[in-house]
Amino acid sequence: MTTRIKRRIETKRTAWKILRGLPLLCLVAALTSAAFAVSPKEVLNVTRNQVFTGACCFSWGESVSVTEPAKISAVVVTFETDFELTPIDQFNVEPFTLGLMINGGPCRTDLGPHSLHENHEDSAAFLVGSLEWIVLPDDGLVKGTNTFTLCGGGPQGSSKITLGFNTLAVRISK
Amino acid sequence: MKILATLGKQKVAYIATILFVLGMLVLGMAASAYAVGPQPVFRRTDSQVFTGKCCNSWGETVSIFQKGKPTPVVVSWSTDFRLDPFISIVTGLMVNDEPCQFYGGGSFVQDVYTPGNEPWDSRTLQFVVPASEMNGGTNTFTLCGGGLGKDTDAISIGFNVLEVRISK
Repeated sequence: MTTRIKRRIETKRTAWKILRGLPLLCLVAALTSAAFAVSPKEVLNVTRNQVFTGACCFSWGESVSVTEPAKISAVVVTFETDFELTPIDQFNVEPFTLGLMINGGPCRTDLGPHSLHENHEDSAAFLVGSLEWIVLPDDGLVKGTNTFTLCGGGPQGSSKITLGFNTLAVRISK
Repeated sequence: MKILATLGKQKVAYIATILFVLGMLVLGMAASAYAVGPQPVFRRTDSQVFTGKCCNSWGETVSIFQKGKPTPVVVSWSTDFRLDPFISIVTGLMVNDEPCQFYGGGSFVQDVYTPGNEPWDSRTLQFVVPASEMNGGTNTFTLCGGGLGKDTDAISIGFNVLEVRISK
């Protein structure tokens, strides 16, 4: 057998080994991408009541995070919650302000709507609040992991809000 | 100048040509970087008052690009708002500057009388625009609305965000 023929056989064997390994590689790649399709950090579901007392603004301890690629895009953070505010009189409750801390920074209440307040005649009732915020690249987003923490507070130190079941979610705008 | 003289006319012309081409390349890249493409998100951080019967454009627009046949999109609007007592306002979208249409719940009602200043409240609305209302390529969505009663009906809109995304 000449050297050329030997080389050809060797090349074919190598190619065959690679081809045999391909399905396994594809399977691993598919499983990996499926596992990372929705990071568990991107959504938070709280199923207990929490009471927050104090003037705006302080951290409420609920966080979500998202991974930004090299080209940073805007992100959308949504917060939906049952809530109960402190009654002032028969018709009024103390308003609350909500916002987000971006990567541990100060509480930003200028990322979208920030008011949690509702007039209702029956002050001893939970209401539903729904807010959406848009965080732009210039707001302090970085390549890699970005964390968003719920924050807020009332008009004075004694202001109180009871948050019921709530969800916080973040996604990259496309 | 001495350096230019030692280089000779041909070389100077050659260098000038290269510098010109490089300059044009840089300008071209800068222009493309600043070209305005679809804007799927919009954020406004001041307050506005919209007065009048439905429906008028409220001037807030988002846009999205879809290759080929369009699929339905979801437009979310989350806002702080304030209404006088006993006023009803409806909101919708103008798709590609067509008349205002309603693509989901968009009503604002203040049915409780509060003495003094009305408080700010917040609300998030979602409009679903069907594929049949859109063209292939870039589609724009402009917020619109107005009162259901008198010409003096007004709504104050505070900090708000508008977002469009393709439904999947």
